[in-house]
Amino acid sequence: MGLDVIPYHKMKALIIEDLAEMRSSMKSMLSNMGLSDIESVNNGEEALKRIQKEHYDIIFSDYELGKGKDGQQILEEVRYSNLIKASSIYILVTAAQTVDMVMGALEFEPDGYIVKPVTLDLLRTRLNRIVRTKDIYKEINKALDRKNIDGALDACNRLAIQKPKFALPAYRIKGRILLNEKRWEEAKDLYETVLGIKRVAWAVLGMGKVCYQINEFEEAKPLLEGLAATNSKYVEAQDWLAKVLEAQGKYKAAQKVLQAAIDESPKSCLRQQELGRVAELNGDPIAMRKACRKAISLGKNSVFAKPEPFIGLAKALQVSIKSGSIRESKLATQESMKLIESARMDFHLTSLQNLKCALVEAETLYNSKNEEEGQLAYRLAKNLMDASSDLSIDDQIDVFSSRLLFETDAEIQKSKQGLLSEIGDNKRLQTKFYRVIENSLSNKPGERLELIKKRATELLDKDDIEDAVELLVRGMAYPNADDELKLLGFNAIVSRFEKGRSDPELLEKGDELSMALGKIPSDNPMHPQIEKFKQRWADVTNEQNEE
Amino acid sequence: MSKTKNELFGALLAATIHEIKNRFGLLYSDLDSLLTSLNVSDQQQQQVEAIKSEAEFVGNELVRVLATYKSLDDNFAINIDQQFTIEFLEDTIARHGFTFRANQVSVDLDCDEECSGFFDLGIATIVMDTLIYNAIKAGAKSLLFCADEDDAYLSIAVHDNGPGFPEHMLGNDIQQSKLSVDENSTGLGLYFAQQLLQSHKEGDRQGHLELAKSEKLPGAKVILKLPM
Repeated sequence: MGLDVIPYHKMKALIIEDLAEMRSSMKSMLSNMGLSDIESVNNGEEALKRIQKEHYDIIFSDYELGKGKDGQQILEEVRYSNLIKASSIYILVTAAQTVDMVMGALEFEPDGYIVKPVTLDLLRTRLNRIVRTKDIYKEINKALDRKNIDGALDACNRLAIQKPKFALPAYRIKGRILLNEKRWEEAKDLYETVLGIKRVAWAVLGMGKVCYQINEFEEAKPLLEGLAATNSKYVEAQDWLAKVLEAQGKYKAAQKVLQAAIDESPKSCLRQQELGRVAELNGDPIAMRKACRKAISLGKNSVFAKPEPFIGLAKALQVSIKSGSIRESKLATQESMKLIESARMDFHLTSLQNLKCALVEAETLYNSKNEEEGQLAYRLAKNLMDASSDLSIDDQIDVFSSRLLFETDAEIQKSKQGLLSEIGDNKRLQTKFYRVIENSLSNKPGERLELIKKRATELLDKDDIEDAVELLVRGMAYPNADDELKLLGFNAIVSRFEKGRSDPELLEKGDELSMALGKIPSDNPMHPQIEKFKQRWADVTNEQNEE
Repeated sequence: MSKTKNELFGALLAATIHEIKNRFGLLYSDLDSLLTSLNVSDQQQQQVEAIKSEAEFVGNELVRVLATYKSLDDNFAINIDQQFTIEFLEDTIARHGFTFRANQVSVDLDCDEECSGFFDLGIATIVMDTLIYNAIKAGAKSLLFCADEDDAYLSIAVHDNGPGFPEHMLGNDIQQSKLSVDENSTGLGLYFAQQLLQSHKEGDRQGHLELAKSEKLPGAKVILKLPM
């Protein structure tokens, strides 16, 4: 394999380890192996500072580093912002109990693992192997370090031909490069080829990502679901599954998936940011608050820090500002203002982020009983809004809830019509838009109910059964759900089953509705329709029993 | 016991083992750093090694039992990726370093650098650990790990110089009914290992174990067969 004698004496190493004895024991083992230029730090923040300043050939990081960032997070930051060369080696040192956690990282994978307790024998064996393996990919990494993308892709192809045994790892790197370069079609071809040879997890994930990027959500979903269900904890599959579900307008399912991923691995700043964002779409201020707080604290000294969790937390606090006790309201108002200030001070805000800050500031003022100041602040924010011509439809929907708070009915109707015509037939945007309105009506349950009925009828007319079911199941859970809504819900569930898409939970719901609606007296104008749906329900469920 | 009671019992057992495993892990890591920081005589050092070895043994056993339990679960799906055998075997041997030293077991490895196969690393690790413990329990002082591949299978063989298997156990038909009490838990470990390997399928080929007489050492040979 070429590299018979490894020139450890020329290599510079960094040890990231919180325990002093372990640091010195690691250091003495490494010098025993011939390394002389060895530095060490006791936490992730310090490590990132060093890595930005110095070049290291080998980095050893303990996985568990006490309170701060863990070894996996350091690796993610390092790789995300290209702090180390592709040719550098990053090794995670982990206890046997955390091996599962560490092995689940497909996207940000270290070059190798060493399982504790680390002995000289173990270190020597593992390190030699990791260095030799890394050497096989030398040409690819050299090209990557020179930012020569095509050179790196060529090197992948060459390796696959010259050493067929290393074809799969070479394709794995190639896929990663293609995804980075947004060359979706080439990436898709590559993953198709690999999956034709063997169904390896990284290729399934890669294919899932490509399908998401080219809007083939129905194809992406089963791939990512399958991967998320395997015993190895492939949390990235859950992140991407959540993206797919969100793109399909299934916000609740997306939040559930993200929550599960966070229960598995709570320290990821990006994942917490995502959860905060999706919880907002679901109108779930409690989850939003929790996730944004976590994202802010995990973002300290991190390249992943963003203003969005600050703005999001300020938004989530509005409930307390408006309806909390006097004390709660006061504290939440203070916190919200402080968050807005931090967002403005600590980040270089884009015009959209600036606008969002201004809007949440206006809401904070308005909800804390300073209505006039709030209105004034909103008018200022509105100037920003009118001035930013480049707001995407998504952005416009995001800020629409503020319009609902501050503008007159006539103004709202006007901008609603305008926005709806821009949204046009785009289903994802339609779903998102109605969801924003639905969330904003949480204190007007009557209007909310009417909105749901109207939208559900529209969806049923368009034969968009899936979305109708999702909306109506949510609607029927509201305390003021009436028989008319239940009939729509029954209609949607019956139609779904008739299309051959049954579901155990919905089966229960359908039976429940059939019973409940059956009790409606026969002189009720809905009665004939109810009887028809009951008959169809009985037919479709009997058919299934027979199968 | 009814099925639900059985399930409950299984879940309770798994949870308990999990708890013990975690606590033991903490205990072990404390013990390890304490023992490392002590200045001891050579003779004491041998005792230290023995304690570490025994602790590692117990710890690994718990991890193995738990992993086996989880892996036999209905909702379990395996994760196959290309693995380079040399890396896998070197790691396996290095992980058992204490145990080998404490039991004065010598180890050899014969594996081509490019030999590779497709398997679930977690499962293969459990199976290898089982084979190594079995060999040491049986009194082997010398182990040889070999690997090679053909179009159908990757074969990883563990040879030892222990007493070898009784005649009726040889072959690849490892069944619970064949196990007798005096074989201790050896057979049971093999039975579970076999169950775990069967989750590796490719066409009509399936992962399995083969028990044989070693042609390279005086004792037993166990071959892990993993379909390509």
